[in-house]
Amino acid sequence: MMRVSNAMLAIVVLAWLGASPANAARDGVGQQAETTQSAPQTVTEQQIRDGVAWFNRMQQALRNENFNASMVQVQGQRVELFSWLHGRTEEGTELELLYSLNGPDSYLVRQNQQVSYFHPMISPYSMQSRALFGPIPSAFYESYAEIEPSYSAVAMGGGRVLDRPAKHVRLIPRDQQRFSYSLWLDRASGMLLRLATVSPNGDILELVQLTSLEITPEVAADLMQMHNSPMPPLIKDPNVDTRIEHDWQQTWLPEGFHQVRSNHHSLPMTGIAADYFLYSDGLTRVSVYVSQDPRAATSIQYEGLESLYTHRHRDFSVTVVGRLPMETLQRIAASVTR
Amino acid sequence: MTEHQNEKLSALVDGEQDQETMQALVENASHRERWFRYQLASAVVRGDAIAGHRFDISAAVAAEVAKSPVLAPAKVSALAGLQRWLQRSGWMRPAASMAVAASVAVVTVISVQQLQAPTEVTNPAPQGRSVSTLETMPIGGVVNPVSFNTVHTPSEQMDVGVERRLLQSFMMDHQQQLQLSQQQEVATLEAEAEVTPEQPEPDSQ
Repeated sequence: MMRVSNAMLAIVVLAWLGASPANAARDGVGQQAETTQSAPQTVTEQQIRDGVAWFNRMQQALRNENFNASMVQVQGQRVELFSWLHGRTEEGTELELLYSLNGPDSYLVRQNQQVSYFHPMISPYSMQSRALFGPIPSAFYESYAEIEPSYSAVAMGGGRVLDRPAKHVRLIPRDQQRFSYSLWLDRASGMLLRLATVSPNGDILELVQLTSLEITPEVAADLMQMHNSPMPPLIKDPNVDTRIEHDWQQTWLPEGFHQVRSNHHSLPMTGIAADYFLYSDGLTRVSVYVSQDPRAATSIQYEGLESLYTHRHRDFSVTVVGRLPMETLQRIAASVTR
Repeated sequence: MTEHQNEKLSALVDGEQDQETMQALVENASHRERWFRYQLASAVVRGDAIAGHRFDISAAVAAEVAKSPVLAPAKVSALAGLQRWLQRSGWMRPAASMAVAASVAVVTVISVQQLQAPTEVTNPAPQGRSVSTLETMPIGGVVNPVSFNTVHTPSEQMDVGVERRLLQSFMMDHQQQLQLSQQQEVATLEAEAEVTPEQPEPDSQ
């Protein structure tokens, strides 16, 4: 066992030891991963320094490279396929396009901080956003510092992904209350090649993998053409000015979560009115709904990649939705007080 | 007929072969009978064989093949579909909540399938749980089937339809709030960026 030099590292090691044995068999890419996963005893400071450097390299690649890729997303039995283009023009404008190759042909287009959504069943609209609302977490487009309070980036071994030498980096949560992430990055470019979302039990909840990748010196002609086209109008946030109605106390949240949004609004379909809070740990986000509507007081539980749990308090109910383990959702829901 | 040709013939019948192969095979008169037998067998497997079908159709097939132009796989631009969107004149002004709500409706719930018969639902299972599946569909087109468990106390036998609606309602709203929070984040960052340059002034005074 290698020496662990400070408390922060000790937490990392605990998280690692707790989460890894089950993961080891599952999140490897073929047999190339074996060397890194056969005996995970401890995490060295060097691995953390490298992990952070690799994460930031990936972030730079996602923001700056000109690439044309296809990507497969697997959730349980379902497999979806996307085409994904990105480029940065000489003027520094970032262009990105993601479109689905299965099912309805939807397009997500980003130009710097404006994202437009096109889908056969909706009226197209644009929003201001720093990243597409797609399979790649928006945190991957920001520096490691944003997720540092909640996750350690740890450089593992290597392997071969998409016929390229790849570096394996794990984002290990500092506690057992959220999912971990396994990233495989192109050694040459830092580009994300494969991403697995892993539960504390070691189950892979979602897998995203590139199936082709072409990195080019020039921005793709398709992107440049799109760049000069008019986009649909910006949408106005309907909830941004509505204040919460009651002074609820969230007495417990996993370490590193902070509030990013709060309002009072009515839900679609049911019209249930709720005070609403959105918390983020930099990578994952969790919604907390506090409602006094009796219809919201049904004890529902829903478990998947995105899970839901409703806790009935004496005269109000709390529903929590997010990509977190069920136990964490339950604890968050139970810890709201008036 | 060689084994290789048989393979080709079989692939052809299954719709996997290119036109050139098809033409070559069909033109070879000695293959006609076998071709037809494969064709018939395949049709039977597919369940679309018609009784009393005229026996020798190879001539007709050959004629059809000769008639149709050679199809080169068209190189479709990544943007073909998007271009159709962009060429439309005049965007509809999205009615604030409406547009996002509509997107989320697409985003989230396409179909719901009940695994249990209604009779089992009204008589709760021994553990007091009923199981249904809900398919959610994020904007990218990913359909995500997940099972959900609803915990009943014996006194309340909630309609599963109502619970499902409730669940969808929360899931849709969550997606919508996530998307909107990205816009709010940009607004916050921009506001901070505007404030920051003014800070040194009060410090220096």
